[in-house]
Amino acid sequence: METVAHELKRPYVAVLAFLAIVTIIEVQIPTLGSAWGISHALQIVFLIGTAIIKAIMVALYYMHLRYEPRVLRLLPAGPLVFVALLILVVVLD
Amino acid sequence: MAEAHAAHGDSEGHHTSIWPFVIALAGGFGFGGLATQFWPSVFAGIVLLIVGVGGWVRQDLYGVSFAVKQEAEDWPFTGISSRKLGMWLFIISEVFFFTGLIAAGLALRVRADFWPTPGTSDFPLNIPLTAVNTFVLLASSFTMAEAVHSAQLGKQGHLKAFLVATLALGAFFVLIQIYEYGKLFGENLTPWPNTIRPDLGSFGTAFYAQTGFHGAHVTGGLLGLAYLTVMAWKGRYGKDKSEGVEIVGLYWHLVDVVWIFLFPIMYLIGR
Repeated sequence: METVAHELKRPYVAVLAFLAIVTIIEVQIPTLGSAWGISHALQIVFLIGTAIIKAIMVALYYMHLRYEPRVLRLLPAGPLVFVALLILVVVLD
Repeated sequence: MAEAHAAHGDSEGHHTSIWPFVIALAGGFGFGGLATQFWPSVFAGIVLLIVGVGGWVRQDLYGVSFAVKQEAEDWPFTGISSRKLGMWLFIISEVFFFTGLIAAGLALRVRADFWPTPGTSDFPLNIPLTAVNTFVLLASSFTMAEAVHSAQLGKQGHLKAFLVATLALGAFFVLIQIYEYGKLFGENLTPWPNTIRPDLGSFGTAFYAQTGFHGAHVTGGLLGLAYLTVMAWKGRYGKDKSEGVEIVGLYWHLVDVVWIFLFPIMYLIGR
């Protein structure tokens, strides 16, 4: 019944609010970025950074990884090394 | 099947088969041949695919079923549901698929003569409309999580309501995407180069490839959700029978996660 207790505490609404607020900020970047003179590189870092944070929030709470055994939490993290490698190789190319 | 199962013993040999590996080899040869335009490799891939699928079906027909028979995995995934682990492995393969697609888009982006800049008047995509659509998909992830929660608590009414809400939000997302595609085609943003806006050729290819494959995944998810909804109405899910909802839910969240990356990459980041 501990599982059910966990279920009751899951902060689904708070996560949705967080995702929505971050998305509202993201959408402003193309216009605010040029108006405020934010460099293109910084805009990219910000937008990819917020996307990573949003994806982690979905994985942890909506996909329940936070409540899963450690080995299942690590399983999706492993291949991300290869994902990063592929993107890095394309960028360097 | 039951006899064959008993004959093999309870924990022996359920998952051992060479045929998935043969099919994977077929994919390697086939797609490798297509990429390099080396036709003998494509031919080898097709032959291996036929042999692999045939072998798998034959093995299955003759009594070695690959349907999941045990509830939980052994070490190193001790105690984890086999179905859930299977879905997570599938999700990982999907992450690789979309990474390849995004990397291909990135390669196009850096090589193209022209790439439109978001926030400027000549940017062809509708950012406000797609931002709303992004909220819709995020909200559908929320309703899906609530549906899983309701199933786990045995709240039938809530389960049905949240499944219908997820289905409706997902369908809305696809309809908006279809509407946007229609409008963009009218404005000469096509997946292939066209004579009116030849400068948008690379952008169009990257845009339609990435959002199109994502849209196809959302559509596939809608089919899964429709199935869940029908089954929920038949009372299939309850406190101790909620795994089906959870597994389709994992897939649904995956399409949300993919969109979380595709939206800034295609709509918010210029070159």
